[in-house]
Amino acid sequence: MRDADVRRPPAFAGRIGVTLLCLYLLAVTARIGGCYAPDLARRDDLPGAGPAVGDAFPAFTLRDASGVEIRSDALRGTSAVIAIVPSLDWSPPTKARVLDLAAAVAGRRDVRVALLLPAAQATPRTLAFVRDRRLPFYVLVDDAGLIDRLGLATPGPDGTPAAYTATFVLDAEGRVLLRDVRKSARAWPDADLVLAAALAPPGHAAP
Amino acid sequence: MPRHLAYRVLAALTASFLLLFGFVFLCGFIDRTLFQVLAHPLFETDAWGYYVLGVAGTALIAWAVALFATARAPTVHRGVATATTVGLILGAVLRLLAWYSGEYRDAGDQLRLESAIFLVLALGFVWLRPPRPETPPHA
Repeated sequence: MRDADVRRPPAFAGRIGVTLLCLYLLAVTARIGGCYAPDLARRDDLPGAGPAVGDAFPAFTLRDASGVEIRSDALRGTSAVIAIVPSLDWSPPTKARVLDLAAAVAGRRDVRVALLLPAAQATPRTLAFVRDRRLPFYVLVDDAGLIDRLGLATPGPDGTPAAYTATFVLDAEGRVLLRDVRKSARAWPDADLVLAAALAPPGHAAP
Repeated sequence: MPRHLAYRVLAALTASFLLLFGFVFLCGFIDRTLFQVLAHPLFETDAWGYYVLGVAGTALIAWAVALFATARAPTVHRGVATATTVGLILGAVLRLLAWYSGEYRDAGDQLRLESAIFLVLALGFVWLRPPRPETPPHA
C-alpha cells in the first residue's frame, strides 16, 4: 500500500471534523443574539423594591468614579434616568445595556443619566471601562448602602455584593415616571423606551 | 478550464481582502507614528494600539502573499489552505467572543456577520483544497 492511500482516511476525517466545527460555530453565530438583548416592554420582577411610580426617588449623596461627591439634586431640573447596574466588570449584558444607553443620550442636554454601581463592583476593570468609554453619565459608586436600602442588592456570581438590573426614569422634580426591575441582567428596557419615558410631556403616562 | 479553478479564485479573493486590510492597517500605523498626513486618523487608538495595528498589518500582508502563492500553484502549497482554515476559524471565534463581551456594542451585528463570512470561507478552504498529488511534484 502506498503512503498516499494510508494518509487519505485521516485527512477525510479531518475535513469532516472541521466541517462539523464550522457548522456548529455558524449555528452559534446565528443564535448568539439570544444570549442578551434589550426588551421593548418594561418589566417589574420585584414590585416591592425601590420607589413606586409617582413616588420621589430617595435623596442620596454619593461619590462618582472620579471621587467627586454628587448629590441627587444634581439630577433635578430635567428628566433623569437612574440605572442600577450589577457590574461593569463581569457582566457583558450590562456593558451592552450601558453602551446602548450612552448611544441614545449622547449629545442630549434634556436628560441626565446616573449609573449606580455597588461599591464592591467598582473594580479596576470597571473603572477602566468607564474611563475608556467616556460615558456621558454620572457613574456613582454606592458606598452608602443605597442599593441595599432600595431592596435591590443581590450577591454576584462570585459572591460579592451586586445589584439587580433596575432602571428608574425621574421627572424634573425627582418623581418616578417609569420603573423597570429585573432579576436577570440578560434583558433590559430598550434605550428608546427609556428615552421616550424621560422626554414624555408632563402629565403623559410613561409608555 | 484551469484545474482547481474554484479553489484558486477563493484563495485569490481571500488574499486580495487580506492584502487590502493589511495595507490599510500598515498605512494607519505609518501615518500616525511618522507622517501624520491624514487629517483624521484611520483608527482611534493610542500609540500601542497603532503598534499592534502595524504588526497585524504586516501579518495580514504575509498571509496574503502565501495565499497568492497557493492560488498560483494549488497542489504545491496545500499547507497554506490548512493554515488559512485555522486562521479563519480562530478569527470567527474571536469575533463571537467580542460580540458576547458587550464591549463592542456599537459595532452592532457586524461582528456576527464577519464571523459567518469567515466560517463559510473556512468551509471553502476545507472542501475546495486540491487533493494530495499521487507523486510528490519535485520527484
